[in-house]
Amino acid sequence: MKKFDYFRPQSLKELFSIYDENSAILAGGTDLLVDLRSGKKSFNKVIDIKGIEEFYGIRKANAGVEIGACETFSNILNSKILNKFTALKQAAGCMGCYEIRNRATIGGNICNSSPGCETGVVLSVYEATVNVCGKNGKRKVPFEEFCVGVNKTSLKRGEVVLSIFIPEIKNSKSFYSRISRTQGMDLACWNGAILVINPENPRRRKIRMSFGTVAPTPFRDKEVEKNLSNKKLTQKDIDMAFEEICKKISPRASSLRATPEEKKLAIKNFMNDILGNLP
Amino acid sequence: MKHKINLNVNGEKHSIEVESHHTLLYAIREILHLTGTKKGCGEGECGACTVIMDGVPVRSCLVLAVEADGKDITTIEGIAKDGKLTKVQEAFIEAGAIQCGFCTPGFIVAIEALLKKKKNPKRSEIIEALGGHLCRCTGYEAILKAIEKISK
Ligand SMILES: Cc1cc2nc3c(=O)[nH]c(=O)nc-3n(C[C@H](O)[C@H](O)[C@H](O)COP(=O)(O)OP(=O)(O)OC[C@H]3O[C@@H](n4cnc5c(N)ncnc54)[C@H](O)[C@@H]3O)c2cc1C
Ligand code: FES
Ligand code: FES
Repeated sequence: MKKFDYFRPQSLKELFSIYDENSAILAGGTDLLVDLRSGKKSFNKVIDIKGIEEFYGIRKANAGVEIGACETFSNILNSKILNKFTALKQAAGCMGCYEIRNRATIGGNICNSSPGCETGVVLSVYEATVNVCGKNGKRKVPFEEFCVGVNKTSLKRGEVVLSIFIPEIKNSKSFYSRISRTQGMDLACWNGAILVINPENPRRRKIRMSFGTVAPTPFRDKEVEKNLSNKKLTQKDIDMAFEEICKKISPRASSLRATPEEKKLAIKNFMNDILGNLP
Repeated sequence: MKHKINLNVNGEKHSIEVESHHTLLYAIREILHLTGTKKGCGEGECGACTVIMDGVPVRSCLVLAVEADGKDITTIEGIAKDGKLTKVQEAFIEAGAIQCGFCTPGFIVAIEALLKKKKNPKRSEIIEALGGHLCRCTGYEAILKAIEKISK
């Protein structure tokens, strides 16, 4: 690994006094240390944010929950407060392996912003908000504006993610699915999340769907969702929605993990599985 | 940048000097010379470098040595007490779950960490805890046999 200097600030003020353009933020290190080691990234400073209390906590917040950026996947899995967020729990359970989940954080997951990252599709259907902080104050970023490309976020220079707010959506059900090459540990070849509001009541029902690895960032199509909402669904409706999605996604043919056809099939199966079984 | 750090490794206190970019794995193997912990992939994929840090198993190749300052670390050398092998170690030997032995410290340490949290884990729970551990020799059959013995 190329040399760097390590800092462990104890407050946000101290963090912002040392955070410059040649620094990397270190949370769990499960992406950053791999990239530093391979030489994909190099920085003069590595700033460990795990000593700062503002990055912690899984707590109820007005009509939802707020998860500190440094909370690990293991903490998310073990949190009772998050029990209602089924898709998030499912995603956290699939993530990496036991030792990785003990270190990897949710903040690191979205900041690394890989196209199949575990939390991306989930935060996308929940329409989560990312609480961002910089030297000059805080701002809220809707999750759909947060990931802007492969390994790219809309964080401005000198900004960090403090926490993520997930609204609790009354009378809703959420689902998560992923495929990987091996049953043990592997990154998702494809993943998806579906959120259904008022599942038992077709006329008042709303559908949200997000798919990973088929575009640079989690893919949602609100037009398609609208066509699937507020009615009892027929197989034809689901098939038409699927065709529409296929026209708009852009899975890379060069992906080593899964072919575009495999990813499309995964979307189709997931939609049939969830939407096909709604009353 | 050099850092003076304190580690409590297998119950013994060590005060050592490390560079910012040194991993905990490097400190354990190259500074403390505890070579039971193995370096396989060096990037979190294989599990050979697993150690217990403050009660939880982590991949020491993905932890900086400075990050471990002040922490309790258990490596494979600290598992057997007073030369007496644990139930897990015995089970691995009896089942012949070791060929070259390179992956074994990681497997054993991961299972011991689970046993600290849960006295009688189910077979499925042990398998879940070992999800990210690779073995290139045994084909896992013998390891599964050892797990049967442990979960009995
Ligand atoms: C063996 C292995 C298996 C894996 N399996 C999976 C998997 O199944 N699914 C999956 O999604 N990922 C997987 N990953 C990738 C990785 O573990 C996750 O993306 C993880 O959530 C990253 O979190 P971290 O805390 O380790 O991030 P770090 O490595 O500490 O940081 C990642 C990036 O985000 C930045 N960053 C971190 N926190 C903040 C913050 N609060 N504000 C601003 N920037 C920040 C860092 O500077 C860095 O660029 C795997 C990695 C390994 C090594
Ligand atoms: S050497 Fe650390 S996981 Fe392979
Ligand atoms: S015994 Fe050789 S790698 Fe497992």
